[in-house]
Amino acid sequence: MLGRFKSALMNAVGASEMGLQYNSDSDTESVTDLINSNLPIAIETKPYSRPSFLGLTNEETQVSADHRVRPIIVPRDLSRLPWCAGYAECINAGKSTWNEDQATAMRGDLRILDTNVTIPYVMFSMFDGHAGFQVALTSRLHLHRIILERLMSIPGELLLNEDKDATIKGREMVIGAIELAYKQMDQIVEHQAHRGGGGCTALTVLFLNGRLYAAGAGDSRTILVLGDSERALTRDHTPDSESSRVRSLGYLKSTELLKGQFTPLQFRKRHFERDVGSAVMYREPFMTGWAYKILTQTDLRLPLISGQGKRSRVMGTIGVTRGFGDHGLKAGNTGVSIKPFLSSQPEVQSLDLEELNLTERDCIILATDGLWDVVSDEMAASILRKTLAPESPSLEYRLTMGAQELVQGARGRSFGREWWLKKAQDNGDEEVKMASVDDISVMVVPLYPYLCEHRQWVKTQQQERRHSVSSTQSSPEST
Amino acid sequence: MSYAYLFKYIIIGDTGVGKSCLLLQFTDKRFQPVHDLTIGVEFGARMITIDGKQIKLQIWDTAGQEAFRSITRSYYRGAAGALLVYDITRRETFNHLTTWLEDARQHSNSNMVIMLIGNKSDLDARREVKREEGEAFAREHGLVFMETSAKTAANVEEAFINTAKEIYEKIQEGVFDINNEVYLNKLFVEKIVCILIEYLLNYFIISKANGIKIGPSHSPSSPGGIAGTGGQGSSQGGGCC
Repeated sequence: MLGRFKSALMNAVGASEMGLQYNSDSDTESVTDLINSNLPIAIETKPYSRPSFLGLTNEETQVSADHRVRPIIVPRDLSRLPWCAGYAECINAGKSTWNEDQATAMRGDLRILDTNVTIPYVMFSMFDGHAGFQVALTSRLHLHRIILERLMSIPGELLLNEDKDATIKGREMVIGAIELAYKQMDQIVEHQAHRGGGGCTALTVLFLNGRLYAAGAGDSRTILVLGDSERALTRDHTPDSESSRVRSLGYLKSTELLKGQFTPLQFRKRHFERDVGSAVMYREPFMTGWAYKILTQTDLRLPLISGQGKRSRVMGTIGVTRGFGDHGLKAGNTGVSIKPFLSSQPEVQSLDLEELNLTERDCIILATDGLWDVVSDEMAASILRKTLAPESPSLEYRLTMGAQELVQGARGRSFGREWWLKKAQDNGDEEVKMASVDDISVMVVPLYPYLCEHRQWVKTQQQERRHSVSSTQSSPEST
Repeated sequence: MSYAYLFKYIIIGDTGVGKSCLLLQFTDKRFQPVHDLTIGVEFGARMITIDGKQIKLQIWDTAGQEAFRSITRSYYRGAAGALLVYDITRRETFNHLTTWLEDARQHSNSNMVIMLIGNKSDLDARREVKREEGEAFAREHGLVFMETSAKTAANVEEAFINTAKEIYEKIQEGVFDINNEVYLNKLFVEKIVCILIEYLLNYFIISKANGIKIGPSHSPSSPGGIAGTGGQGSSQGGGCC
């Protein structure tokens, strides 16, 4: 009897494993023509997979999802990522069956509308999915293509114009392209999100025309590690950090969006029936300070935003306020729709790399909150500097080693069923704190190689221009 | 293909002793003379038959460099067998065996079968560690010993399969508890039970409560269907991030 049960179970296990059909399609598969289209199109739902640059087989995808060991996965072929950028990931400690983080990278030449010029670009993106892996997966497969299509539709003279006195600079067109692409991505995943695909955050780093663009929507973060300093290039979008935006919207459209269930006002503490009629501290969405008011019955409604920092929630439900998906997400118990309060708009920063005095070891780190929940920007930068410092093995290896160290620095070690971090303090004592039990993904992108490539491209362009000028006018070189 | 047992192996030893090459020879029957430095962990799998039973070997190939030691330590968990590899042409890789063994014993199940392997037996002319020394070390520490060549494939099959036989015998003798995760990869069992429960819950409770039709249109065997509906459940439960 026991034997039969066991064999039935083993069969079920075997069958489930075989039943999972993974698709190893690359991330650059064709989509129907999206150019100039704002319409959300129905896209195919793909089975679970890991980033294509990892080159994992079905078997390896299975093993990488081991929630007890949480193996740190790095690309087998480091050259699959542009400039051998470092990457490492590990799965959560059991909160979801699959790793809901995703990442992708793409490089190529952008053919500019109305000219014969092509300009090289490199793009990296990372997504942190929640409540299902589907939306993050779809974003991984489509976002870069959509951004490219937006970029391609910018006329060359506008895109390449970085003149000081230009009314609209090229960078503003690029930022606009990314913003539009993010919006379109959100529309594309609507159907999947409605069917339980969840949602995701998004980070994109684009290298184009000598500039670095860092876009972010949600609580994943990109930081710049430059020499001995480091700073965040994107801002976390949580109910706490976006409290003003979210509550303003609730304030302005309270009947329509809050359905009499929530209050957009913020109170110092939770009030009850017995407090009605007494003076309490509160603030309205546009306020940064505090004021008094007499508590009324409607003020007893649930707060639109509750909790603080990482634990803050919109309608007690979701802890991130920007990204893709979550269409159809309803507040627990009340059935009020949350999506209107979520935005797909990224905040985009643009930097001129020539102005940064870059050296070989300057990098950016893209990571999901699996890292940032337990590792500060300063700690991450110091772990990375330490790993990149030695001369051997070569930098290509060390970028991935750095990513792996960062993941390890957040994942820690397991003791029984719990994960802990042990850290030596300055006074020699060991500090023990909780490790991250979330999915953790880290990408380390070196900046110097792009700068070199860009300088070379500028030089070639100048030579070609000179060449064409001298051949058409047969005059001496003009500057 | 279904299998009766799944054994997890871990390959350990200094950098450059040929761990990745042993794995490649065993799973793909080929030799790669120049192999990149292993940074993380790599996986291989092969089905073997012992005593008429299908056994799946899931092999974790680890990075040997000292810098990765703390990460490697976390991979012993659940391993039924370990291949501890040194290079017969480099004395220091033999000298480091004690620290590797300490690591292995400390971080693994005490019943883990450890096979000591002196690799690169094809380079006999450059040998620095005598066969007898390997045998003596194995005897002293209760290990199984074998000299192999990942290049010529000599003894590679035997190394992996003999380890599996040893584990299998332990199971037959009842040394390994039948409910122990070590050999009966409990993870899979737990996972499938969790998925089933989650799926059923979603199907019967949540889908009805919300009037969202989930189920018949999804194949129960597709990960999209399962994890997708599971996700819906957790988002409805509140606190989805």
